[in-house]
Amino acid sequence: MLEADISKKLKNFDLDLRFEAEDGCLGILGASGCGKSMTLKAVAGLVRPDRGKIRRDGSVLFDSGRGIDLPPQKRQVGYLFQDYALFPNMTVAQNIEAGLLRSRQDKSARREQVRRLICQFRLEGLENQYPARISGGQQQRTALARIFASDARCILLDEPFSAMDSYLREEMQMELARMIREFGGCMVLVSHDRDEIYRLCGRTMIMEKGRNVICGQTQVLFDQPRKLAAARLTGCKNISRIQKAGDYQIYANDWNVMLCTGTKVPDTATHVGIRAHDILPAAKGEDVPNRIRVLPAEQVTSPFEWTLIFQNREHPGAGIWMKSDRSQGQIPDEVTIDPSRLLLLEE
Amino acid sequence: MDLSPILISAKTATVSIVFTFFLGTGTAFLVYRMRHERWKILWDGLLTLPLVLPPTVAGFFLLYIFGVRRPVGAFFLEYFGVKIAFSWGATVLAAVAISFPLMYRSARGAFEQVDRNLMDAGRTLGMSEWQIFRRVLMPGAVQGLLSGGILAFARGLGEFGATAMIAGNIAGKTRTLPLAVYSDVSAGNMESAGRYVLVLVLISFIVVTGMGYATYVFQRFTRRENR
Repeated sequence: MLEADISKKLKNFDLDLRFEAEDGCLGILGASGCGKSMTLKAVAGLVRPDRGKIRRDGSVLFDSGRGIDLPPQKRQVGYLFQDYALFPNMTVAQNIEAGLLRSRQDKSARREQVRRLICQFRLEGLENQYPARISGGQQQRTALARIFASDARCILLDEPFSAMDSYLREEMQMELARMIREFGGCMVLVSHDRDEIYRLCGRTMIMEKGRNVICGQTQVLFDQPRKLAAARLTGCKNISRIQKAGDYQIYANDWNVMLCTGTKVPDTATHVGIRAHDILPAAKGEDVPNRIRVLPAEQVTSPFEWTLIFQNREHPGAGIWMKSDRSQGQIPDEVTIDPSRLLLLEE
Repeated sequence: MDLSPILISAKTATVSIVFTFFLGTGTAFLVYRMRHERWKILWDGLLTLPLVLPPTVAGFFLLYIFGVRRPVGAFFLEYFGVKIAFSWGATVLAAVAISFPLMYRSARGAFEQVDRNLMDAGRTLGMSEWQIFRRVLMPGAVQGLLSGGILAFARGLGEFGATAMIAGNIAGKTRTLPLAVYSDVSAGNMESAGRYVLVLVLISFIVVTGMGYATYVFQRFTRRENR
């Protein structure tokens, strides 16, 4: 369990957020440079917040009011760096052993524990290799083994897959998912990749410019982002400003269309979001709501997906993105959007 | 050929590099650990001065401090009975003063280029600051320290101006190789000067190529291929 409430002045914006991470994995999703890494560093004790409190499992790591600021060595918070930060002058085994230096065990007990971790992280045969000579995946496993060796109660993962190619990435994500289940304490994973967060984290916090925009169950958050920034970061392609036209009706200013909603429009809603996959072709004459006549602008085909960008033919406005299975790669005359799929968003 | 300049130079260069190495590395570490960038820049400037000023200016300052009638020099003479100026010790003093900035700058650069994430990683793993210094920072900086040490050694060996001012040019006592070359040339003794020149060129060449080779070996040892 990790509780943080911190603020720090940064160059371009102020970091000012509060969050809790229970056992399991909390994802922090945010664009590059929104203060995600800085947040992790503050928790690990590598940078000092201007004000606030940080607690891990009830023990105070930092409290500006009471003048408490534990050094990173005493926090028992593991940190997986983006590039893993393995010591280049030490072998795999020595790197893992570096995590055991704090425990003051004698050499043979340390050796034994290193051996155990080498097995657990499937690094057999690489004990005497230097980090530069092993693959990215093996480097990551070594870095994780080292953190496990240090008896961390909480592990922070800073964009753990950004240095990998896409093939290796998926494999490592599977492995990390298994490790998260095995690890008892809490983990925080920072990423700008929504797929990563969705796959690995039970709870998600969306961060924008140093602030906690919204926090909740990952699945709920992706289904109902509620906030504009959350919709954007969870990958919603189509977002427009709206005007409320009725209890169940809105006018989307950017696309110049009137849309029916499935739920009552709250007065606080300022934008509407439509996921590109929720736009479906409408057959002629079929009685479906939210029909839009298509004025195609551009189309892109990727291996397993077909993307069409179109405008509203009656009153052309901003482009609307539609994505579907490649097998349906035909430009429809009209499209429809299920009213219950409209995401009503607050700024 | 009088061999005393060779022996004096060897002795001076060897003793002075020990002082220079530890002083330069230690000072570089202190400046590296400073938190405020402005203080770093100020100290950097001050500590680099002996490198850019003429050696005679350094000699002037050394005389000013260690001269027999000056506070420090008088203190040493009175309490330890040691006369610093115009003794063999003064050749070491001059060599250290002049070669120090080379060592300092190399060490500082070597520390700066060690990835700070590595040290932060050590901290989160619970390694003490001393363990981080010994197992992470020093191994990461060793190549730069070594090449700095070799450069400083070569510079100390070739020191002339400051040595002439604080240690003088006393044959058999403070006359180092560069001073012997100067003296022989002044006396029109070109042949003897040429032999000293040959010795100097040889030693310097061996030392500098040795540095190149050491760098090559270290790079092979620590090259990062997967980054």
